[in-house]
Amino acid sequence: MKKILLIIPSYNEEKNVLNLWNKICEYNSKNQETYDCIFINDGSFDKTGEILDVNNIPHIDLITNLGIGGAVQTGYKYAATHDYDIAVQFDGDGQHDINYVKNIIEPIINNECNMCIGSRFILPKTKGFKSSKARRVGIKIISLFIKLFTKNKVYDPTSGFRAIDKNIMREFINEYPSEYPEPISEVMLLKMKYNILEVPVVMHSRKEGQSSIRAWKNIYYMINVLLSILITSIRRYK
Amino acid sequence: MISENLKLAALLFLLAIILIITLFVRKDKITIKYSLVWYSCTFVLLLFVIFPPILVWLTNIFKIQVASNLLFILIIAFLFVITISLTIIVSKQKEQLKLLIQEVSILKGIKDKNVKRK
Repeated sequence: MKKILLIIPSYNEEKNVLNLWNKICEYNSKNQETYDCIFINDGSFDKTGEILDVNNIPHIDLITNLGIGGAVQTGYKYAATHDYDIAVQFDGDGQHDINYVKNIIEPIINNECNMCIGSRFILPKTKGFKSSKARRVGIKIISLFIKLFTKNKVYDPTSGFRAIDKNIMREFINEYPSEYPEPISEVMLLKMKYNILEVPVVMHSRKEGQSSIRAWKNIYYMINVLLSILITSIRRYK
Repeated sequence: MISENLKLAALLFLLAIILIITLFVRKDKITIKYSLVWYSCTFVLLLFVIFPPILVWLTNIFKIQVASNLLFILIIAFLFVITISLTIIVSKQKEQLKLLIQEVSILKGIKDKNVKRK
């Protein structure tokens, strides 16, 4: 039996955390699963920390805001020290569906890959939330860039719904990008010759709160990500 | 050529910078490592003040018309070096700070849990 940990970065998600915790508990008892989870409270200034405390939800309170990269990396550190076999990044804003966790950990359990990404785009018929048209074009461009520099196609490089095995955990503990970690870490891993696989998942539009990528920041975001992909891919790896 | 008064003023100015940096280092406000970039820049400028022929010689080599232009170029170059070294220092510190925040937060979580159990 593999030990599985869901890492849930939460920044000002007071309306979502309890809901999600109940969903995870419910799922575990219904399906006889033993997914553990750890919420990473990334220095929220709303009641996120209080809610986590009062309801006895397993969590780590970062003493100040680190951003998504630093928060998720904290989760990987926790996973590694507690000897988990698979760590799943799972967003706290209600976009990801707990029912798909088994789909994205399956290829890792079967040793088919080191990282498995829950992808919105690999099957043309996948339903559900696929973000706005502009965002989709952006994701296509990022995907193309990754293909250009690593010769590997990642259809949904910005998906934050990902599972990793112990080997990648070890890499991520030492080094994990602080900003826009998803596409950049994928380039890093592909350059290190790890296997990345994608499985189709359905995502929901966010329920409460605001996405970390806001509209007016989009151009800045694209330039930053593309530049980072370029630099990450020309770096030297062991 | 450079007037004696200007030379004296420049000399005093550079010596003052060296003195200030040294005072800061002595009071532990600047670490020795980071003071080196300042010392080396002021030292080069000091050389020009004490031996102006070096400056004139360099000006001729690069076919720059006025010696002061070369000085400006050099000073801008020094400022580049100093700001780049500052960027490197800040980036490194950001990484160290991240590590510190993560480790402290994890430890604090463990500590709080232990307190509650008792």
